[in-house]
Amino acid sequence: MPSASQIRALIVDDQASIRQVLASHMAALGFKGVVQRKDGKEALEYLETNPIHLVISDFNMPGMDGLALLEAVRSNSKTAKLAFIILTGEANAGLVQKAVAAGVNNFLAKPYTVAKLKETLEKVFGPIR
Amino acid sequence: MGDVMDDILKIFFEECDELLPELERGLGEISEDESSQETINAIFRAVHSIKGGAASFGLDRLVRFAHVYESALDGLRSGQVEPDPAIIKTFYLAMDVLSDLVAEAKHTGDAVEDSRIEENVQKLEAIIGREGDAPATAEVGETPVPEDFTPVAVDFGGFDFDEPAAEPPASMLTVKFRPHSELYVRGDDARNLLLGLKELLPEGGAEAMQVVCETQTLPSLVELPVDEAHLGWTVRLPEGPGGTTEDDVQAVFDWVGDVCDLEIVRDDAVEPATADENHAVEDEAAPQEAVSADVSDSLPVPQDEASSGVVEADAQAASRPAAAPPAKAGRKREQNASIRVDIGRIGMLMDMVGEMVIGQASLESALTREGALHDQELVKRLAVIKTLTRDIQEAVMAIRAQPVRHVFQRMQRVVREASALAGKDVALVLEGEETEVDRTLIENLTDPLTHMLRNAVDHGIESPEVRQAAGKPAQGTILLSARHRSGRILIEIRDDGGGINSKRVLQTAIKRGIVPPGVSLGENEINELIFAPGFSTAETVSDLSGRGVGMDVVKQAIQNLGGRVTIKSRPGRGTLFTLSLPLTLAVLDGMLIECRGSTMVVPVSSVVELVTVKMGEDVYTIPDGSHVVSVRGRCIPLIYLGDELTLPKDMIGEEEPHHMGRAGEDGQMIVLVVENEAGARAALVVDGVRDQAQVVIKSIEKNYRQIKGVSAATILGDGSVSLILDVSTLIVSATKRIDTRALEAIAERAA
Repeated sequence: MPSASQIRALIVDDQASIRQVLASHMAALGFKGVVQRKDGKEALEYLETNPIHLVISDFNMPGMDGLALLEAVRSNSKTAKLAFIILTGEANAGLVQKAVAAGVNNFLAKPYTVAKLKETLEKVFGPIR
Repeated sequence: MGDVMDDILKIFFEECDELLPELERGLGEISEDESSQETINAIFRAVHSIKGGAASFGLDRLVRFAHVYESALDGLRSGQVEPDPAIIKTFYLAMDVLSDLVAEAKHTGDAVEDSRIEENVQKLEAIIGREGDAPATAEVGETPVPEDFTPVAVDFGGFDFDEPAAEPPASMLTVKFRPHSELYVRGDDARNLLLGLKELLPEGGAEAMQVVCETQTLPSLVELPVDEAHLGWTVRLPEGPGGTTEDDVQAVFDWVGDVCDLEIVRDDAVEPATADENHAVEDEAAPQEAVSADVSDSLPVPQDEASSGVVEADAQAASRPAAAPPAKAGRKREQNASIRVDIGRIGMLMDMVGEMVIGQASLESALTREGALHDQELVKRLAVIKTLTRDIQEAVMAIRAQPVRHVFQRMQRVVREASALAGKDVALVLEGEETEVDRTLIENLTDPLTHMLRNAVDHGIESPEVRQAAGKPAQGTILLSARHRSGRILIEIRDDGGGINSKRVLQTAIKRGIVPPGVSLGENEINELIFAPGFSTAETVSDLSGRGVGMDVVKQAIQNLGGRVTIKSRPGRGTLFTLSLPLTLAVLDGMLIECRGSTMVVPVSSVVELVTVKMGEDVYTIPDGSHVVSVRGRCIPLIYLGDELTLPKDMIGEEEPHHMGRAGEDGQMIVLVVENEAGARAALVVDGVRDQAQVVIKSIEKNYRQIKGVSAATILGDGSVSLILDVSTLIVSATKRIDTRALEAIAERAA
């Protein structure tokens, strides 16, 4: 429905290489000005003042992890409705359950291809131009 | 895209270089029982991150191993697995495999053998009781998303995909800025900063910025001190998308943060989330009397520049008391920014600074020749340049300085492997890992340290049985420590092993023909023999020390770095190796001495004192014909530098009797008392002392060959090449010739 360039996205991961890979994949899909933050706390700080449509966050991060970030995002009326995708490589059913309960929109399992990323995003946003 | 991925791959490898030590640190804490859940999470995350990154780059071997490792660590994290010593050991070994696999992926290491990977995989799987019985579940790339999960589409109702301009009206940021006079002294300009703020605004959005100049503290023109700052500005500008953020504003003032008062305040109340942050808000929100609303008028810059539409001003601002902010969200941000710089660039900078040191010295020497140094003004300015040169050099050195931590932590693995091979239980304790040394030195330290630690495990620490029989704990301890001492770094390797068996050392040395039979040597001298080429006391040539590298090579490596090794040993209690190294391989403070017409450099750090002695009174000839000198009741071997270095005598004319490196006609001699790290002293007989200067070290070995008694060369201010003396070698060769007991006898007589 929306075009990729209209979606304002925020990537949250403590690993710069993972962020960069994701950002470059997203750029390939037509996303523009994707913002990167390295943990939940920084992400929340950014979200306070910047409207964002999509957060793609890692699960396991030092300090505030992806689950805590998701919960914080959902509990704030300003950000409650944004799309939240969890990036994960961890086969930990417990955490996945908690994320589903907290209202995650989708999961992106590492490693992934650009096509897989597109599919994951389209399940949330509908066809992305 | 390929290039982009290559760059990201580099970032990933840099991350690995940070994650692996983190893993090691965590395992260390766990093995010392100091771990918390946080530690366990951290090591899990380290392996997890390596796996995740590796997966993005298709580094399959790395991914597969990291995956198994991660699963085992997950057992630890969930409390299923108790960290007993055997399990910790497995984790350590797995870490070594992981780090070798990273090196393999980086192409900096050899390919890891499949059998080794397999062996470690099995050990890891055994930990979580998954010995191949459930291989499918461990498949890499398995999607951890439950089957029944349905992705949730977003509700576009709450969304706004319009361009940022249509965002809800942004709140305003109030920036209060008052430069100190230092800001202007440094050549910064308030005008540029205000311009910088203007540039934050979108094209055509400058009218949204309001500037008020605060002039209430401006003295009247008559009593105006012109070199002080009197003006401040209050700027209001829209925040948020299409506007600007606090960070952006902060960034404008990054360079002047320490020379101005700066306060950034958000207009509308903000979430309590930020309330816990440090607020640097002045309580006086006193309304300012805005004298001028036009920033162009208020700027202390030439009118023609200022009036060219520098900053749009808002006339209304005059009537609006500046901001009146709910002083809640204002804050000063910490600035702890760091950047990565290519080491080559710093090396280049270092070289250029070296040349600058030489250039400055040559300028000074040229001016001295011209007799220009009587000009006080010139002398003063030259002194300023000298100080600056030194400061710059120290600053560059500081950039290149690194803590020894990385090298030290690598030694954990060395000790681990060596003790496993030797069937010993050894703990390595690190101290002073934060001690900083020049990077070039650090790089060259790894090999000698590796060998010395292997040696300590192999020859120093006894087998557990022997230790227990001696009433010691079965586990041996090696302490590796670093600290700074008088401009050098001291690295100590202290083991609590059996000490050096000097009797056996001597026997071996005699057997190998290193010393003649029947020689009489002190304990220390015997210990020194282990550094002799071709020496090895190990009863069984073990896997470790049988690699053909002897302690002589270690000693040579340390000496090549301008360092020294000394040993102290106490039978039954242990051995202490002390390495003393310069902080840098680039420069040293030297004393310029003259000898037979040559100028040579003695490192200031090894000079004890400079004295004049009289041939007949203070100098004694001992039975073997060599000379010693009595300085403050201590007898010190005399080294006639000219003879010692076999400098040609015919280089100088007859009319200069002093230039013989011997006593002059009046019997007076200038001697430089020098000391090595072990505290041994010698007196160098020189013709004169010219100066003290900082010299740039140039390797002589690289350009010529090694010369005994000379450690390196340098270029002096006048362009001539000068040799830097290796004081330690000179002392050793002098003391070797002299029977130390004779010295003691003389000292007694003299006293």
